[in-house]
Amino acid sequence: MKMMDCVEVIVEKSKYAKEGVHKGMQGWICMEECIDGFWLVNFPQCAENDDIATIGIKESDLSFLPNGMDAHINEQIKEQFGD
Amino acid sequence: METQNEIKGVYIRKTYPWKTADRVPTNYIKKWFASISKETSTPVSTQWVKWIHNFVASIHCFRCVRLNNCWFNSSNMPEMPLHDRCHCYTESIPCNQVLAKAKSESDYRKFDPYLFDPENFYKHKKNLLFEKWGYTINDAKWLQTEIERQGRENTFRVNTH
Repeated sequence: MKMMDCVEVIVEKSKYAKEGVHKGMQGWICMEECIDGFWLVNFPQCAENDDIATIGIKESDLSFLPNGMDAHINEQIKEQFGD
Repeated sequence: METQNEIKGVYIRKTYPWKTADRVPTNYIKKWFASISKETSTPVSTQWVKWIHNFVASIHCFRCVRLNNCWFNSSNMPEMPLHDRCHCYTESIPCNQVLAKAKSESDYRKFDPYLFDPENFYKHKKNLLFEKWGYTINDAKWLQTEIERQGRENTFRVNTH
């Protein structure tokens, strides 16, 4: 993985959930370095809606999306969780 | 020695009675203080410190080692002591030194390809928003420069919320 790659969260963890990030959400790696096995990932929503979060996610909790991401998915998941 | 409130008050007036050469501020600080004074009545901190980790012990806290030699605004820094038996301390840094050395970097890729998404790879529609505002991918470089400029300026603003 590297900066600008699109990734998907493949686990549901409370430390991510408390920031609004849930399993299935998609984001992009927005920092060059992987620090202690964690990548800084931004999870956007569409257009003018605020980003869901920009947090460190463990690399093993991510899967690489070779064909890009879709911010609509984040909005759907956010609605499901009622965040 | 003048307090920050006194300094702020001075710059609301047109004249400023600086009496000693070593306390004459740079033009940048004068302009910055004046703009802050117009926008908010909240005092602004110009206290900057360098975090120093004391390497005397045989075991060192990982976080403290990482913080060693980092510069912070005194109003926005890690809590000290960071943990029990933390031997770290801070040293003051002159504001002029911070201003002279401050850099702000915003990776160009965050604008192109992320923001303007020419290949529809991120599918966030933020590019449509920027285009509605009159920006195109040709403005990416300008936006990068502007964000970096604002980043340098906002570094010296205190978040009072």
